[in-house]
Amino acid sequence: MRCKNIQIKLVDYHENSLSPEERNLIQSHLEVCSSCQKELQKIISAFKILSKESSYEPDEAYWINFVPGVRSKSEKSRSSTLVPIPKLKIAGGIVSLALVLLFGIFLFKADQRVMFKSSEEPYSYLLPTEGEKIDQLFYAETGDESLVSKLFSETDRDKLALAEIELEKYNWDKGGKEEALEELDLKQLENLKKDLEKTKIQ
Amino acid sequence: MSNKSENQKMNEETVRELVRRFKHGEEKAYNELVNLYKQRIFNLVLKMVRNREDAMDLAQEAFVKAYHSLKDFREEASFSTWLYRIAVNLCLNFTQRDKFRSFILLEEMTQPVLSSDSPLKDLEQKELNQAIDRAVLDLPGKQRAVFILRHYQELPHAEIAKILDKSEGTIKANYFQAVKKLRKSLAGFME
Repeated sequence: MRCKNIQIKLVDYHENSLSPEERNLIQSHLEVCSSCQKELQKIISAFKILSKESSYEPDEAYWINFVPGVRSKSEKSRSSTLVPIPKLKIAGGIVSLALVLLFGIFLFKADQRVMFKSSEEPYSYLLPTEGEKIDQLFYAETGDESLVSKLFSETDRDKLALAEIELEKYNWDKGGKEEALEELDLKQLENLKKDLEKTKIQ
Repeated sequence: MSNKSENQKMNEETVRELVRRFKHGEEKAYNELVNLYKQRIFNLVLKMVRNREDAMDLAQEAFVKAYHSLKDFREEASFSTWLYRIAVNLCLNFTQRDKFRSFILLEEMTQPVLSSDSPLKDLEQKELNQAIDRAVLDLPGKQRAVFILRHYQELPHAEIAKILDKSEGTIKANYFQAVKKLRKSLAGFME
């Protein structure tokens, strides 16, 4: 296994949440790899720091008044949700207007996305707006979350996060892999990555 | 069957029964549900928003929202999964809306510092608490939720996947990314 694949699993290793087989595999690698040993040490230190955080417990009065507070807020919000009909009409108008605007924005954004020149599928849903450097956008490689969040939806970012793992031929475990396969078309993503790499070379 | 899983099964049965009684019009059953989950929800909300006052309000707000939706709860997931989902979404919306305010408040109060004999230690502890607050609040919303559900609430990946309605692989990827970012943010405190 490559170091990158090992390092993805070091948090699970530290939490003792791996299968015995995976644990043994990582343990054997750690015995011979100083770079992964250092990574593990950093993870252990981070969790050690996090464990030093102070805890907080509200006073008894808060807990005594908790249920009455919930009940009274529930009653209040129930009565405030009984909106008179004219107000409902205005609210309906606002909602309709917002929907029209959202649809317009969606069309505008969709138009800005670049269609990728691929021999198989259009990958527009994963691609950046025109003019951006593609190698800045594969967040698996850049880690520039703010830039990526501007250009990709959360769903696409999930796919990219999974793609990073799956494209390295990394198996979480049998169940996890099957689940990931349900969400991803791995062949499609592999092709995408190949295409992106070609673009970078050019 | 182990004692732990027997207890868990018994608790799940109790909760299902309470939900059923509430749906049949027994208002008091909801009070019992609140009492069963209030501590866990408060802890979750506090770690999500990193502010005591807001957490105290939002924890109650989560139960108010659940109260209004419980009649439509179809029990496809467990009550706790469903309740956690409500609380997480509430916190994500809140921090999205009030991010700027949260940062200002962090300077003033955030986590309390346990009074010790050494003022220097107190100060160091305060700085550490603030650094952790900032680091956690800096995480993208979903990564923050995954990290908190896993690290503080100690939920299994599969359960977190149900709460956030994502695959287990996505949750693992998010958790890995969150720890990676926290490690970078807290590097200055590491020995």
